[in-house]
Amino acid sequence: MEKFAELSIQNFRAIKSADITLNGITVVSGINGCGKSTMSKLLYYIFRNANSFEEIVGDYIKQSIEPYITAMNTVLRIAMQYSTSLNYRRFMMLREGFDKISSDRISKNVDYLHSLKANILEILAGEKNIKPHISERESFILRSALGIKVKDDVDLSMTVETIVGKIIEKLERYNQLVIERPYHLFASRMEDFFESDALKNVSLREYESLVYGHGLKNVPELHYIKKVAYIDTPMVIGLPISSQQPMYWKEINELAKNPPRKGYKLSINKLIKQNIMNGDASYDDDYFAGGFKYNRVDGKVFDLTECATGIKSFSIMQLLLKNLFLGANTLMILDEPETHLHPQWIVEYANLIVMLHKRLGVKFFITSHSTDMVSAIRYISEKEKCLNNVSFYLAEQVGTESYSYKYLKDDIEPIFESFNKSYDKLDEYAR
Amino acid sequence: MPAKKKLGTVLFHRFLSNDTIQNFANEDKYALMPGFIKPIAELLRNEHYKRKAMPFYTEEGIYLDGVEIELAKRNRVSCKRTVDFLFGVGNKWILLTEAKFDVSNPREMKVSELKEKIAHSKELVSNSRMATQIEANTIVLLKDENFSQLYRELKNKVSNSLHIVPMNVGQFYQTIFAK
Repeated sequence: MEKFAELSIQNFRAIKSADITLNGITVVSGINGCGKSTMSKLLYYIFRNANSFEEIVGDYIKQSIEPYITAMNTVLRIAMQYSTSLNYRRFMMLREGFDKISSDRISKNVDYLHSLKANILEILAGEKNIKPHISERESFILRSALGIKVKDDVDLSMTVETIVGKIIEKLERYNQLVIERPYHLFASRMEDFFESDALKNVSLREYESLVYGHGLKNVPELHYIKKVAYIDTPMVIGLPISSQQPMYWKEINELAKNPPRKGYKLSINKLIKQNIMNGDASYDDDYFAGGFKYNRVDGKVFDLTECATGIKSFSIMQLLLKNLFLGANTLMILDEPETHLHPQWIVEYANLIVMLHKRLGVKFFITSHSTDMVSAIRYISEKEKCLNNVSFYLAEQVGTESYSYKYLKDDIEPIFESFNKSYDKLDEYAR
Repeated sequence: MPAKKKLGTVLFHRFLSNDTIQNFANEDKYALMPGFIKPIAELLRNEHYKRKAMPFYTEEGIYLDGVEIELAKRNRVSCKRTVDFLFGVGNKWILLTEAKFDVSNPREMKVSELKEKIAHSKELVSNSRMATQIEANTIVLLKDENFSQLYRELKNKVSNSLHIVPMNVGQFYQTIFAK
């Protein structure tokens, strides 16, 4: 069994202990509230953030220059008191220029700052005779940013030089941080999504090297999983994007919008199109009539957001297949993919998962409550001779609201034993 | 010892002695049943139960399939389907039991004939001159291997109104026979 990653969790929310090996298709089962989705989210954010370190550094730099941007705006506001050539538009330009920090924009940001400084200094040079009044609040802002006391007779030109110098100094750290990949930035990003104390008991190893966990100083580049997507509901497809949405909802929509590319596996697409969906999913970026579409084989076209949820489930996979998102370096995290699916389509979905793994090498982490899904993955993998890459785990209650995850290898009997308790409930209520 | 025992939420009468099944068989109006009383261990082995260790010693039951075959011969009619065994529980209760030891793969679980088997078995039981009652629940004995999956497959395929209770041999012994 090839294992590419190991996730270890101790005392994290409902999870008392879990040592989960990711080796191909990993299926986790357990009652509601046992921590399966927590595990899914942990995996998603760890892999996603480790693969988007530039984004983390960019946000860190942006945050660190924020006080100086505010200070610069304050200087501009002070200067506006007596200058007729400065206007409010400059405030907007300053913030917009630093909306996103990335490697391809650093030099542009720096050039922009030099140019802005030159413009402001030129204006201030022409207004030497009038002294500005600086309010307490403005003084406080400048003092906080620059660490200096500010009085009415402050040299604004010198202040502008200092601020611009500080911003450029921060920006120029970007490349260094991207190369170093300091762990504290990664850990800090993870704390945006999870409780910081509990995260100390979480670690992820790739091929036995620590990539997330206490004691790490620098985050290594991931070699195996380069792309990750998390689907907890197919209803998310086509949903208008809002800032209140989880990151993974926005991402799945963005990923699905990417157009098809040459080289995708036709046989798997045929499986989805002909055997299951009876059509194709697509994305049309037309401003008025665009959106996700379901193109049925008889030629009719439907708005995918209005289609059956089962069609959405398969559409997402088809779109990701055709734009080559799905591949050997992709981890797909699926929470209860059987939801909204007829039992026949549950088996088709399980078959699709096994085929994507067998033929494209896609890795899966799946949580499931469905006997059909668990059973289908188990027996189809066996038939397709990739059972060696399939692992099952069962959450067992060990305390009040606390669960440990037991490794079952390919034995699904304990999972069925836990599922069968529903019949005791049925007898209790219905007999 | 309590007269009844639960498996999950389902209540069964317990085995008291071989007297119940023998008294019942002796009152068979066709006088066939006494000839088909056998030790339970033998009954299970004949239905392909393979485990060497068996918890039963002297407990007995009736091989109902054999009774039906003999009855059909006598009456010159074709055999109808019955459950495999009858057991005597409580003082005058009869427990219907079907064995499915040949099924290993959950997908091979066939249950279409169970309803018919149970119905005809009840008819045969009612041939006794002794006033007997039939347990509401019919036991279906499954292999130990893949038991939970077979259990689920069976319960999924059978209507709740048939009152089927799947068990393995260990649970069967503990629920009905263990003191």
